[in-house]
Amino acid sequence: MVDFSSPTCFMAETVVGPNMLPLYATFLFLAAVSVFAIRKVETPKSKIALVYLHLVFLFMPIALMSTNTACGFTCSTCHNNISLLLLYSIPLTAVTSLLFGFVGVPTYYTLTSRKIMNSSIRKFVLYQSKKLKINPPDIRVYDTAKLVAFSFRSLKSKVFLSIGALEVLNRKELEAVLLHELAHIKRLDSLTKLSQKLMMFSPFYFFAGFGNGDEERESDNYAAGVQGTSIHIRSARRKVAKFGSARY
Amino acid sequence: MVIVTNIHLRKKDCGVVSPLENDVLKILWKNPKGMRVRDIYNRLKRNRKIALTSVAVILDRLYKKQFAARKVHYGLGGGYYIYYPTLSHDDFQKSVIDETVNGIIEKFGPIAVNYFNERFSKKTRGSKNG
Repeated sequence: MVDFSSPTCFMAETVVGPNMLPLYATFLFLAAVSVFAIRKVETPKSKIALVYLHLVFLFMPIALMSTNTACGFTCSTCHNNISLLLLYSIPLTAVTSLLFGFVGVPTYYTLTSRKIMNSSIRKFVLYQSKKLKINPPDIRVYDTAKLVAFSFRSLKSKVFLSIGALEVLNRKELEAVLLHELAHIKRLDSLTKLSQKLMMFSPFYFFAGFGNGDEERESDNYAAGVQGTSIHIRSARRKVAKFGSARY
Repeated sequence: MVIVTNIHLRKKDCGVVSPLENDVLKILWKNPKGMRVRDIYNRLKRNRKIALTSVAVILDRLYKKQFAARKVHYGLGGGYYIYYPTLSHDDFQKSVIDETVNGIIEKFGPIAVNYFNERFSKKTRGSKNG
């Protein structure tokens, strides 16, 4: 019996009925198709777009069904279902992770670091960004003695270098590390990684063909290609490993 | 009477720094106003074969043990740390003795306390007689 006293109730009664099953099946079918498309496409942009498309298809039936839970608060004919409540939490968690990954983490590191305005490092990055045809990222110094370098591709790309890295790495090693990070930015690796993490919410995760971890090797290869030798990037990697495992 | 055999005190229990940490501290004590990692490395490499990374690791460890403090200086090249000692040489030695004695007392309890009492009373008697 449909309760027309509340629009939420009316919507809930119509979206959970058996007439909606073909729609849910279509969404699930499209979710499955998008997973296999993720496997096939080569470019990171298409991969990322397909991950989000997949998540939308996957969570759409859940979001529709969840209105039934919301309706339980407003009318007597609906009832709170704990399993639906749990299902509702999955897309919510996915959205929170997205915000955390795109906004939270970059903002935290931006606030706790300092921008390099004018130095030979900056000039080097400007020149190499032009060669790679990407917007030059901000170079920021991060206060830790550990040898750390990482990058984010967000509205404005950023490369973070720790003070430890600036102190310990020599000029050529530092350039190799910067080239490595620029390669990550060019290939949208930070976004791909985030999409990969979000994809873990999907039961189709293992069919998507993620997790080969080639991006580090490819970025190293790019740095070695530009410098004409892999000595510097390998030496930088050795120093990073030594810092982490040093016993004196 | 209890006879103590098999004493296993780890370095950590005695609050002792490693030989390399000690060498770095000696350089810092000579320059209490502070030094950069590279300057300390240049001094150390005169007497021993060492890598810049090792010096950076040691300084970071001394900073975490609170035997050294550091300030960040931002410059054109990005930034660097200036390390300086938090304790004078004498205060450092006192703190090492203090930590060592505390470690022994924690490990052996009343036996260690009795031992120290006997040892110090002997020493006091000896100095009075002398």
